[in-house]
Order: sequence, then C-alpha cells, then structure tokens
Amino acid sequence: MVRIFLIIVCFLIYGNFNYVIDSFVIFTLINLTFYSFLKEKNLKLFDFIIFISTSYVIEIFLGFPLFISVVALSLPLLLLSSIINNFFVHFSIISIFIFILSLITHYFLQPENFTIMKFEDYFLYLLLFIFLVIGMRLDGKEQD
Amino acid sequence: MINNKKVFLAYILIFFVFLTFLLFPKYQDNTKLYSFFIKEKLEKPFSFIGLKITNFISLLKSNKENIKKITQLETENKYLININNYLKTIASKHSDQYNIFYENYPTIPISIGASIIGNKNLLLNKSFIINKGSLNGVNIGNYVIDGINVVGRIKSITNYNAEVVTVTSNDYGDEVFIDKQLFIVSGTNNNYLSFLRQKNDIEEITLKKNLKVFIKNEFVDLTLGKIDFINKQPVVIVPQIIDLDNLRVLIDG
Repeated sequence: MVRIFLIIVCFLIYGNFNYVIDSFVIFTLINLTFYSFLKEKNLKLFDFIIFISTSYVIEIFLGFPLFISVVALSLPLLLLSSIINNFFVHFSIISIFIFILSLITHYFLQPENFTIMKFEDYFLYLLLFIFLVIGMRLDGKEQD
Repeated sequence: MINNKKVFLAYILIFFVFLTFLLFPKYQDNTKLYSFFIKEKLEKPFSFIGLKITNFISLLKSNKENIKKITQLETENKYLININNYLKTIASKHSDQYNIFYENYPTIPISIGASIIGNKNLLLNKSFIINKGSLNGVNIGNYVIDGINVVGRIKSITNYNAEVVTVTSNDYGDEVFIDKQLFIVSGTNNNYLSFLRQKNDIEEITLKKNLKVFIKNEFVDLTLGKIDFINKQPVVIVPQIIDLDNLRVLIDG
C-alpha cells in the first residue's frame, strides 16, 4: 500500500516543481520498479502489478513506448532476481545493489540531469537510499 | 523461474497490450493523453490548496513587511513631528512678525512723500508749496502730515505742485473731534486754532485742558493738537515743532 501511495504521489508531483524534484521522482519510481521485482525470489502478482504501474508511469513521463520496459526487462530481471535471491546476501547489500542499478538506469534515461544537478541535490538520493534500506529490512522481517 | 501463474498471465497480457500499442500508435497516444488528463484532474484540488497556502504565506510575508514598514514610517513620522515642532519654535518669531506686518497691522492710508519747494519759512503767509501735484494723485483737501500731526491741507494744485495751507493759517478751518464731540475750528495765524462752534449745537462749549483734538480720516484719526485756554477761552494748541522736512500727503483721505 505504501508503494501504491508513493506511486500516486510521484504521479502527482512530477512536473509541478523544479527539475531536481522531477529527477528525484523518476529516480524514486525506478527504485520502486527494481525493488518490487528484486525483493523476493518468488515474484508475487501484487509486486508485478507495482512493477507494471511504476514502469508505466516512467514511460508516460519520459515518453517511451508504453509497457516496453515490462516486456523487455522482465526476463533479465527475473534472472537477476534468481541470482541475488538464491544466495544468502544481507538485505543491505541487496539495497545497495538495487540503488546502484537504479542510479545507472536513471543515468541512461536522463543523462542531462546529472550534468545540471549540483552536489547538494544528491542528498535527496541519499535519503532515498536510507528509505530503501529501511523498506528492505522491514519487508525481510515480514517474510521471516 | 515464475512460480506464480497469475504473474505469467499478467505478463502475457501486458505483452499483447504492448504489441497492440506498437502496431496501433494511436491507442498508445490516447492512453498517454488519458493518463495526463487523469493526472491533471487529480492535481486540481492539490494545486488549489497549494495556491491558497502560497497566497496565505505571501500574505503573511507582505503583512510582516508592511508592519515593519509601518513601524519605520511611524518612527520617521515621530522624528519629523519633532523636527516640525523644533522648526515651529524657531519660526514662531517670524510667524509673529508676519502677523504684525501682514495680518494685524492696521490699514494705513496711502500717502506720498513731499518736499517744500517754496515759502518754507512761512514768511509771507502760513502756507507753502510742495513738489507734488495732481499727476502724483494729490487732490484739493488732502491732509499733509509730518508723520504724527496734521500740518495742513492742500489748498490748490497744479500738475506738479500744490499749495498747502497750514493749520495755523487764517485760511484753515476743519471739523475736529474732541471727546467724541464734533467741533469746527479755524486757524488764527498764531500757534493755536480757535473754536467757531460745536457742530449742530448752539450750547456753550465746555472743554477740559489737554484733551486731544482729532481729525477724523477714512482710515486713521489724525492728531491736530491739544485743548488749552487763553483768556479762559478754549483754543487748540498745535505742536510748536513741526518737521517740515518729513512731510507726507494723504492722497486717499
């Protein structure tokens, strides 16, 4: 539910503030996409729907063909998920992995933003990383 | 890898939707447009509230600034009031002078200065000639004063000169006020004037010594002299010292 709420908030926020916030919204959505797909070994329908929704919102905002990421990324992400979830890896390592993956994806999607942004703008990204770690930890506990 | 059938079915469904959008771009565009339409509709209440909050904050800010400005202006106003009071105090002297000169000053008759050009020593008779005539505004009957007392009246004029008969001359006669009573006096060729009679009255004249004798003018009362008695007869004594170098003709009296 938190993720759905976050998607709606991101959907509403985008385009109403400056480029830093917009960039951060896209980055949050990318994080949500990867997090929903990679957080568990067995992909649930709800997580898949979240994945579809977030990717759909990103595609709408950035002008990509709709559902291309679902079609193109599902299989590689499934492979990645099986790799990282079959080994006993600490949740913080997974969080870092998701964060770096999201950062690389974001860089390829909006490279011009990284040239404009100032150093202090990256603190928001750090904040997101903290929430990502917290989310991963709480979700992990639920699974146990 | 996919244990959940529902996820697989969902993926298949999305795949076909993607293919449809790829083959028919119009549907894709419409979907995007609808998405943005929903976004706009959802944003509306939030943007409205946001606008209200922004307005409220800007109002608070401007209010704060205005209060600051008002305080500043009040301080400035106080300072200016103090300066004004100080300047008023300084200028009060000038203000009083202004009142004296322009507001409360009595209306004085228009007069012109004149110099005696003939018979200055009053040897032949008790009249003299001045250097002002009808072109200077002098008329027959105008009073000639030496600043305080009446010296005489214009008897005859030319364009540039006038003959003045002095108050002590035999030819001089006038209406005078003594203690709010009207009298007619006449010159005697001596330094006093004698009473002819009390105007509009045939009763005996009863006067006291040193009473001032005035001639009523339109604007001011002109002093002619004082009451005195010679052989128990009341006369008007004119001042002995007449300043003949400082004569003025009252041209509107």
